[in-house]
Amino acid sequence: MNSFSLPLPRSMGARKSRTRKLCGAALLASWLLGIAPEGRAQMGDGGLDPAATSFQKPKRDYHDYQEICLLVDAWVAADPRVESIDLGESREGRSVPAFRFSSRRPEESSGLSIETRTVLIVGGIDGRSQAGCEAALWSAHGLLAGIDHLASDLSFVVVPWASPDALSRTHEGIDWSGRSMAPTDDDGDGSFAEDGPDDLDGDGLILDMAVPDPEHGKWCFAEDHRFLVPARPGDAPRYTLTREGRDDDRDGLFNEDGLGGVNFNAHFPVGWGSSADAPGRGPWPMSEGVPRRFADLALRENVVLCVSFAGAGGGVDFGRPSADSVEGGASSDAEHRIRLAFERTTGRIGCSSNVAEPPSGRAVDWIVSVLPCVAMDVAVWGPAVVGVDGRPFAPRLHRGGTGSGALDRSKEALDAGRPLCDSDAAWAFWLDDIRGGAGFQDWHPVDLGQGRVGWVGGWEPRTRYNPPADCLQGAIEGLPRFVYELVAGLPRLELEILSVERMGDLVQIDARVTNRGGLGTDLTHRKGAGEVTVELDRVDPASLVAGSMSTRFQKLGPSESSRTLRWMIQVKPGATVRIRARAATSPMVIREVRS
Amino acid sequence: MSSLRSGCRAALESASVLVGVILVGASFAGVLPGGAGGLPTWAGEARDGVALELDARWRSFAADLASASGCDVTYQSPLGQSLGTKDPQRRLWDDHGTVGILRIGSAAGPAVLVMPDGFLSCAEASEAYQLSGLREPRRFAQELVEAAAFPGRVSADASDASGRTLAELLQTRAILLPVCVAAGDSGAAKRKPGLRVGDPRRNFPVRWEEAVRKAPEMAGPYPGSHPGVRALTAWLNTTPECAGLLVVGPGSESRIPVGTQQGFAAGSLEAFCSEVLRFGVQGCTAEQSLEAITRGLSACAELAIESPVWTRLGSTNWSLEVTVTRRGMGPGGDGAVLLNASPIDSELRWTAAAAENLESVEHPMELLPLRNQGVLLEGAQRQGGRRVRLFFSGSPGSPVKASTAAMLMVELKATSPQAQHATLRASSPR
Repeated sequence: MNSFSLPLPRSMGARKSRTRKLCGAALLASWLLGIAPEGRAQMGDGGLDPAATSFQKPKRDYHDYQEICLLVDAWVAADPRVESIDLGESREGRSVPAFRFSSRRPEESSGLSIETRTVLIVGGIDGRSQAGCEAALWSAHGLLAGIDHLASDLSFVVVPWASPDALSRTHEGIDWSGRSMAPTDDDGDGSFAEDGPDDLDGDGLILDMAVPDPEHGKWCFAEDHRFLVPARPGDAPRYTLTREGRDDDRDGLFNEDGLGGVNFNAHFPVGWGSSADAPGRGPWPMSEGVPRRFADLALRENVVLCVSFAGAGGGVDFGRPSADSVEGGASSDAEHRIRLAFERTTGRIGCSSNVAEPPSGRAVDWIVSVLPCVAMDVAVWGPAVVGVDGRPFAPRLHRGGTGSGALDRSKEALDAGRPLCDSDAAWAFWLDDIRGGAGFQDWHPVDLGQGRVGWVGGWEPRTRYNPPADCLQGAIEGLPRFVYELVAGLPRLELEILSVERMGDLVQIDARVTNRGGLGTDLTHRKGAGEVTVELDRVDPASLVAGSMSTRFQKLGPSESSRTLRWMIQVKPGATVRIRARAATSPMVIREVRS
Repeated sequence: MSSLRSGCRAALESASVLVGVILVGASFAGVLPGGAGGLPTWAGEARDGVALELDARWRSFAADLASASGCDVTYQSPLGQSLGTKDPQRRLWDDHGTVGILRIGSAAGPAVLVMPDGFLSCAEASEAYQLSGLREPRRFAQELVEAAAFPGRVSADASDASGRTLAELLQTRAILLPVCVAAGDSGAAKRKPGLRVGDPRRNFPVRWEEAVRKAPEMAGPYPGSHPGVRALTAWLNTTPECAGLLVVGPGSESRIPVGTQQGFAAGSLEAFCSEVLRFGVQGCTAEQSLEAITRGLSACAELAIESPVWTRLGSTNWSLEVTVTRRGMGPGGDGAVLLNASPIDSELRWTAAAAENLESVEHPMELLPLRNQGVLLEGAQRQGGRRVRLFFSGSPGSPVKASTAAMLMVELKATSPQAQHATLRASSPR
């Protein structure tokens, strides 16, 4: 099975009917111009000049909250087809930047009974993935730059900074737990946030801390002493791993009740009960206002596709429906094609998840459970993304053969019975061979009082969850194009009238319906999700001599056509016969045939 | 519309009392026709007029009841509760929703939330408001206050096993009546047809996935999608003194497994109160309601600190053992008890006992000191109470005055979010 490919016209001026449906190649080039290293700046084919777009380009570095808001405001001001969306305010009073756009002008939209499909693009709903926010911005900018060429039935809703409070703290390097500031009593002692992290060694960073804990410690140092591995029976010394900080409330525990708050991407109701240990899942699902308003927004839209840039690992992780539900989620065919598209556009081979992990309170798990759409988390950064200057590192790590020093060390560790997990080995490679060791603080002792000594160290901010600033562009590369290909590949019906022949009082019409999308009409597992219906409209059934008023097809695959449908209808010469084709995942198409 | 109206009317007729009223916002502009029930047109600024009128009527009613009965009656307005808005009247229509509460009884101590069944029966209860016109809530509240003020006159059975009347119970505890849940207008009508906001009976955030499996239409697209549910959930979560839930309405007594903490329907208010908030939950018919309320108040947990035993440790330190007991079998939950000590001698410092120091105690327990602000006693202490040992000592630079004095005095206070607090002033032997 092949992945769908990009059906781009050679020239933006040619075949206008196509350009109304699809973004152009030059548009793609504009994304590359904006995001790829300078050496690729000449890839445009003479089409849309990115400099000519009225939409301000995102900067090539991380944006902070204010900059994101200003950028969104600028986009809204630049074109009436871009509208801001009110998603209310966060607990700390930050409005949630969100906007919507489509190719339709406001005057075209009013009074138009058009069936719109919505593509939802979300950044950083986990409160940690700032790179996800950047990917959402760049994806949106790419689409905005070609706004005139977007299909008129598509509407794009973008929430690029979906967890404002947590992302702001991540950006400032204060805390990267991904949790909002909702006060939580994590240790159940009736007090809130009385024992949070502290900068014990005064280096301006709050890193990890390993506290000796012979009885309950779950970790021990691996042979590569930068990493901790799960302790096995008999392993010693053992440690409890926590954030750097003292025992502020003198209860013998460290940082067990910090700033707290809710991680929005563990806060949705599907799988929430099974994620009892997930930090920040909240007192109950959807107790926070921002996720609720986000959910209400999604419910109001006819969402067919949701791309949420969040998480770590560098791959695609599809939303999974409730464990009790047999419906929902992407169909296996759609998953397969989307994975291939991801690999082709990003060059990340084999790192998209194909394992049916149980849902765990993620937004995309909830979305596919309640809406007939495809939704996925896309992790911008991970152990198999890119190094500096676009040089890939360890993309085939799991298959061996890189010969890196880190992997050799990993093998030694394995021989010694203290292996690094694959991802740690990959990070070790990245740290040593690409970053020259920068970005990791070696573990060093700190005084915890009462004669106890802990070890502070670990990854610095913007290393493992978000890329360093100089790696950001490389990490994002390919993702806007991936989004574009998903959009371009959405199912789209085309109704072809093959022949119209009059025979006396009768007219014979031959037609067929074709799915011009790169994805099948059966995007999801839901019953009847792929069904395509072709029917005669405004035709008196009594005048139908042969054929059916309505014909249903179970699904149409990518570029697949139905069999030829034939109708013989008794109509006066010159009368018009209307035929329409519709599917849940595609806008309805209507053809009028003059007999 | 007709089914909505008939459904609400049926709910009203079947429920003997209706106190809870859910107001919805402009989303349901078509539901409340202009001028219905003497209300202004449901549009624009007039909708705020509805809220203000409702608010004023409840405020006035509370004042009337208080003066007529002598009971402590307060009305907590729903207006401007949420988010500290600049425009409190507008905030009523905020997405969060708000809840108004009529409190009858002591402002301190545990409280029982009385939730007439009609509250949850009317999924689209703007109709209920229109149809009820506040008469039923007033009558029910009036009955409660009269029963408290004149025990035996309204309900001869309204006293607990100890003979304490409702009025006596209300000296230390309270009844909370949700009188108005105002829901925002941000969602419901804008949703696509077919995507309902859910039914309040199955939309609470407890075992939502199970609720979806069993009653998908009622469970809603997410827990708390119904604005009234959201408002009530938020209010319950921020009302620590609320200790129990009594659901009043026909069939409630059989539908709710009295005295159990499990078995409530997924997504129900009862399950949420029981499993998440750890309330006691009971049901009764309207006819039994006063008696049930009395019983519920009587069953509210109360704490006791008893049997102090002092021990002098060397020349500078004292230890004090006490038994902390939680009483009450019904509402009150199993929340932790915070034991606090306030030495009369201000220079005295105290610390919690470490677990190993309790080896000699009959029921050792785990103690969690809280920044010297108190000792948290985990778990229920209903069976004979738990012994706790506290140590009093001087800091290195500040010797304990009392260590050389003839007598040491401390005041202990035990508190729990859902129980009546207890205090004990204890003096060491000379």
